Amino acid sequence: MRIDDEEIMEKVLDNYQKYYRLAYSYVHNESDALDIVQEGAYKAILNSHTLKKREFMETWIYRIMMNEAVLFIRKNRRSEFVSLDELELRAKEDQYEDIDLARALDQLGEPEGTIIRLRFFEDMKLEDIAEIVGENLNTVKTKLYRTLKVLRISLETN
Amino acid sequence: MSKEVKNRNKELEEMKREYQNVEADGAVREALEQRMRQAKKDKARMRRSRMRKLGISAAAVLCVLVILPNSSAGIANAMGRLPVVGGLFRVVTFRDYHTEDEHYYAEVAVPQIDSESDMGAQADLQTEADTTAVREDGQETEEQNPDEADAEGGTEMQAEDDRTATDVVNKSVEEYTNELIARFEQEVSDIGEGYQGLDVDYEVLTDTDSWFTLRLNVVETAASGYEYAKYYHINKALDQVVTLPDLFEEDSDYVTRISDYIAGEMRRRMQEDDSLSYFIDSEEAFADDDFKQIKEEQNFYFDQDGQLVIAFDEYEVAPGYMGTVEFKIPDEIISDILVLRP
Repeated sequence: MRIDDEEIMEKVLDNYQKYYRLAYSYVHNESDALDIVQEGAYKAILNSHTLKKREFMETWIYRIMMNEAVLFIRKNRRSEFVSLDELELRAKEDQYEDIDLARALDQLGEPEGTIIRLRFFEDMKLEDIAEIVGENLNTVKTKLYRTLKVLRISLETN
Repeated sequence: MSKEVKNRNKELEEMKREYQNVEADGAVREALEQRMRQAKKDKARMRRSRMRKLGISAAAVLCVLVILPNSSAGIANAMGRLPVVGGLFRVVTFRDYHTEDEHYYAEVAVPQIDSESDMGAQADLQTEADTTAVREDGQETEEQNPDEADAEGGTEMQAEDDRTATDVVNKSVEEYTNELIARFEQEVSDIGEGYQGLDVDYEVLTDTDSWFTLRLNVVETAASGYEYAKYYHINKALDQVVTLPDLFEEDSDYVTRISDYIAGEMRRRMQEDDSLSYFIDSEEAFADDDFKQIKEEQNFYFDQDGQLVIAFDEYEVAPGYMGTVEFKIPDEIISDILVLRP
């Protein structure tokens, strides 16, 4: 079964706000966010033959966009990512220090950063998130809960 | 719950609001559309440049052949021998199918193997059989020597057992290329604004006293390209067409041994170079497509050092950008069950 490039184009143009928002949340500026989604859209068409099933189209595009965003910050960011272990350690050492959540999210490595963004900001299902970040569902759950614990976010309100 | 937790959740809510407040203006949508149109163009261009490259080299070969009828029979005969490394077989282009237009392109060279025994009778006919012409005006051109066609009909009338291994391969090649051309013509009549391409050429991979391997390279292009190969092996000593199971002792576990080795090799290659990717250990959703084991009659050939190489078509065990994929199988994996080799 072949999926037509036009179909993928249509899907990208239908959802472009979502991809742009996700990209923006990594880079916090418009021109970089635009670069990311443009490059992602280009690669989606160029590699359209790697999409095997129509039902994966949405998560597949998300995955390409996420990869572009992560690639971009790896290339351009000044500060290093902080591993979850490191964050955990810092939180334990100084329990009362107020970690700025927004900053913590930016420092979070991958796939944890994307998992949090898609789960809480896009209200996406964990199954879909698992497909996007390329991990199995249990790994995603484990990583999500551990990250929430470190960031001291309670799940009850969600 | 502590006060701190409550604040955190409020902070998260606030971040969500900020996240969702980000809005791309219409220019972003336009830029995306443009970029994707560009991707489509770039893709078509890559495809065409590749086609052209293949097309030109095929045309160059044909030019030589077109001159032949006017040259001496001796030279013509020598030319016919050109593609072969040596030995008793020679391969000639039996039929050349060419057609092109803005929306389609096909270049199919159909090989035929001649063994020494029937060369004498065919040497004179060969010069005419190879005569083909290419016109670039979108007209399909094709010539086939009537005597040659008759000869083919003659073999068919013989009893099955009388057919030599070369007859079997020639027949199989012909049927297969006819099938490809028929499919191409069908698709061409179906497309409107699309693009359809078909390239078939061939290569002699092995030619020793005892062994002969011919590879047919096929590139089919539609929405995206599809590249694959077909291998024909002849054991000259036994006059037999050979497939993978024939190489091994009967009832041996060659499929498992080779598959296990290849799975390990895929993992090792991916570990070493993260630009490589094979269909293995995929996440659940894609696990169905994962490599499990080779087909009993998987494509193979022996390389110049006599080592067994297992070959996969594009998409068979890896994403499209990896192209066709091959694995060299070390002797120690199979040496105790390998009974046939060049």
